[in-house]
Amino acid sequence: MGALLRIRDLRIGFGRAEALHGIDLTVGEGARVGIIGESGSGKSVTALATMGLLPDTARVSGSIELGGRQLVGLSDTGFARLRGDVVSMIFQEPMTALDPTMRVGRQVAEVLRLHQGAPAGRARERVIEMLSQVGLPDPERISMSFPHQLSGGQRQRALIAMALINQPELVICDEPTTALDVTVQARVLRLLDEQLDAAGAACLFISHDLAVVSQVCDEVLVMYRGTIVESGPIAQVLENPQHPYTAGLIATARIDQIEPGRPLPVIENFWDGKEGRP
Amino acid sequence: MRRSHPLVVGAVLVGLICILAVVSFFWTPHDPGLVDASIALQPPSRTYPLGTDGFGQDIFSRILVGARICMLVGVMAVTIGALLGVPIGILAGMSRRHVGRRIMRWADIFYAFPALLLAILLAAANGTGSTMTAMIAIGISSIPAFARVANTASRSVMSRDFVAAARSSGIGWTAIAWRHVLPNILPVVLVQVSSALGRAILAEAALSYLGVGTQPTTPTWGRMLYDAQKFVYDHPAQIAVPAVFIAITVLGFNLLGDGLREALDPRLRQEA
Amino acid sequence: MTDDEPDPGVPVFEARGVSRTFRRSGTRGRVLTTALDGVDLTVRPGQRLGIVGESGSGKSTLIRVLDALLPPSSGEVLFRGRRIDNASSRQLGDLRSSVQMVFQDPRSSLDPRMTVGDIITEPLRSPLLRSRPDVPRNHGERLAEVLEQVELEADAAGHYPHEFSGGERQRIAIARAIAPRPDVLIADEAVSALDVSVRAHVLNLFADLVRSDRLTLIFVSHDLAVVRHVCDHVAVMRSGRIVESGPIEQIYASPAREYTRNLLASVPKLRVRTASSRRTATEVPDEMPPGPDDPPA
Repeated sequence: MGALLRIRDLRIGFGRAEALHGIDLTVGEGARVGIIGESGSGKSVTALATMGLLPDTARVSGSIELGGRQLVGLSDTGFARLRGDVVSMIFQEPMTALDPTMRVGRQVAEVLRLHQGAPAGRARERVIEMLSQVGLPDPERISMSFPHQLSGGQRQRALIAMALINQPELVICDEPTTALDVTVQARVLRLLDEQLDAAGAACLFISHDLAVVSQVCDEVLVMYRGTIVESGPIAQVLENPQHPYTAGLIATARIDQIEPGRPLPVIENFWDGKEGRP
Repeated sequence: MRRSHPLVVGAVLVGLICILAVVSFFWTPHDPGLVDASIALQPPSRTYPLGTDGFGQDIFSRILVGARICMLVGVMAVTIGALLGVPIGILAGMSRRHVGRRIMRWADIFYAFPALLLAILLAAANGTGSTMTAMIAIGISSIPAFARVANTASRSVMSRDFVAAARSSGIGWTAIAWRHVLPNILPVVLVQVSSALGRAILAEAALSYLGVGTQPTTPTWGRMLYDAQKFVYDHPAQIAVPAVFIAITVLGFNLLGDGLREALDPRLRQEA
Repeated sequence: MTDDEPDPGVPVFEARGVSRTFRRSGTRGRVLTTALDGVDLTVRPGQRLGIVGESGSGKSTLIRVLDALLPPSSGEVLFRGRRIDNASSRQLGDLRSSVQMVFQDPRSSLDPRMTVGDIITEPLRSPLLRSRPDVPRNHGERLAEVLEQVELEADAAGHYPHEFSGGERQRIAIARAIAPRPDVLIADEAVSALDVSVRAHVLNLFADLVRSDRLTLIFVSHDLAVVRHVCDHVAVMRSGRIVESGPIEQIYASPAREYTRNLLASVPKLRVRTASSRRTATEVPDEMPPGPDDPPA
């Protein structure tokens, strides 16, 4: 399997501050890579850079190659051609990621029409098919609904349909289940797992929750303050974390294994944020 | 990266107009009311910095005195509007939904009532139009806009959890209004103030122009526009001078409002 | 530990057949939605009660009714044996001075225009609390005390909420809640909006506070694993009703209801995906009958 996404020495700055201090990462074709880190660690910035969605004030240097195309310095129209077709994104808050004034079916169809130029009738058929594929009951009715008429879980399913309808090579998920309930989260994660498998798409999955990442991904990158402190196959990282920060993350994620009444482990038990900085 | 500071630019423009207004109390180059047909429609010169109007009155002197009335009307009208409108809006925003709706329905009725009509009524009741009637008419007609803005903003503040937290510690309604609602709606009220100031100044000009505001002998910028319209083709500068001053004042207040909004927000203040 | 025995005295809270409906204007005129449907609940002094359920199950409405922030549509709510449903704000003095709340999202629960010091001491300035003898008089002293208790620097008091991280903001909210030395603390999804790595810290803080101040705690969450660490009892809610309740360990170990089992199974756990495990990603059934994901927000 070749490398689909290859990021080399990517640096992103805003004003005087640098948010990303030169990271390297590779996502193979069909691979599932999770990025984990706390808010402000630079994980979302990495995703936005790959989607070309950074604000104009950002300074970007280094290289992002997607299927051989260089994305750093690519124009907005260049990105627009890729977005929704080769690479697509699933956002954290499905309510804000959907246009509240447009029926769900039309929004999904728009992505399809934009890139495939499908005639309206065919597009509609495909949209209904896709909506039912993501497990939405009564897809005909859902496609005629407005976003606010759907539940959080249904909205996220609609977003997944939108992201996958053009069978992109890479799907970027930015905390796709953080706004959802545990039960809905479990179902959406399973759906995502199945759909990525079916589409054979690669996935860059961003989350603060190691347990969630471990449901979907095979590899994991741990980010801290704009650098990658650890990376590798999930099994290896969970088994034998190299960095104390990772060890702390693993310990905090194993809340169910701690006897009630005992203090829960916190990151600071493992790492004070200073020693062992890469 | 340096940002431009609307606060500074706005303050300078408004300050400039204020200085003109203050100076007019002590000094004007000529008597602004002195009519002398022999020197009518003179171009700008050393003696008449901005020329003279159709009655031979010194335009610069009249601009100075006009600034006074312009400021007075703007500030008084907006004060009336804000002092009455904002509390009504907060009251409506903090009461139950159907009560609030009823209050706002009344405000909307006033909204449909133009300042002009009110000014004509007041002028009729008073016998004649005056700066005072114009001020009150403009002020009253700006109440609904303030009430509306304050209402929507307070309703959104009331839905935030910090209000629930305050209520659950037994903080009373008045304290919540002062401590939480007012400071949080201040930014939108300020924007409303600045645009209302601009609008009040324009409205006063319009009322004077129509003759139901300030009376002919008193120089106001609106009056000056009215008097200059006869010469709009032959002497366009006659109309340009008061128009430019009105524009500068309106712009100044709008910038000041924007700048204040930013300066008052602790989240934005840190980065400045 | 003998402290864990519930006090046999008057219950702190008692709800009897509490219902609450909301009127909402939908596309076809007004729709009535039932958020609470005949809830009976008793909270004893010193109890640490967890309320769990999916969003839309009515747990947030329930605590807002308990704290008299919302009146119930029907039923009775008693605080220490006295009716508080539809009571005037003057009659709520005891409740307001004894119960404090911590909300889900500290971005919304902290006034962005107040300094941290003003936020934390606000309950102390409440007219109702000033009348209570054990409420700290010296605000500055109490402020320093609670800041230390929630492990924030003393100079935090002069700063604004936006200058702090999510976890720190939630600790500010907790400091505000404990400042007047309440008897009862109600936490509404207090760790759900926090990063997993920060969550443990805040949970430990809750556990310490409850233990050292012998607080009665009502802790609302959608995550049973979290509730287990701070509570001794749990009530499971679904569609406005309490479907299961009892000691936490009993329900955690052997839930009687399918719904509770699903809640437990849904909590994501660390696992390594293998080719064979791909098929059985999680043990959650596809839909929980009757099964919409959750009611529209």
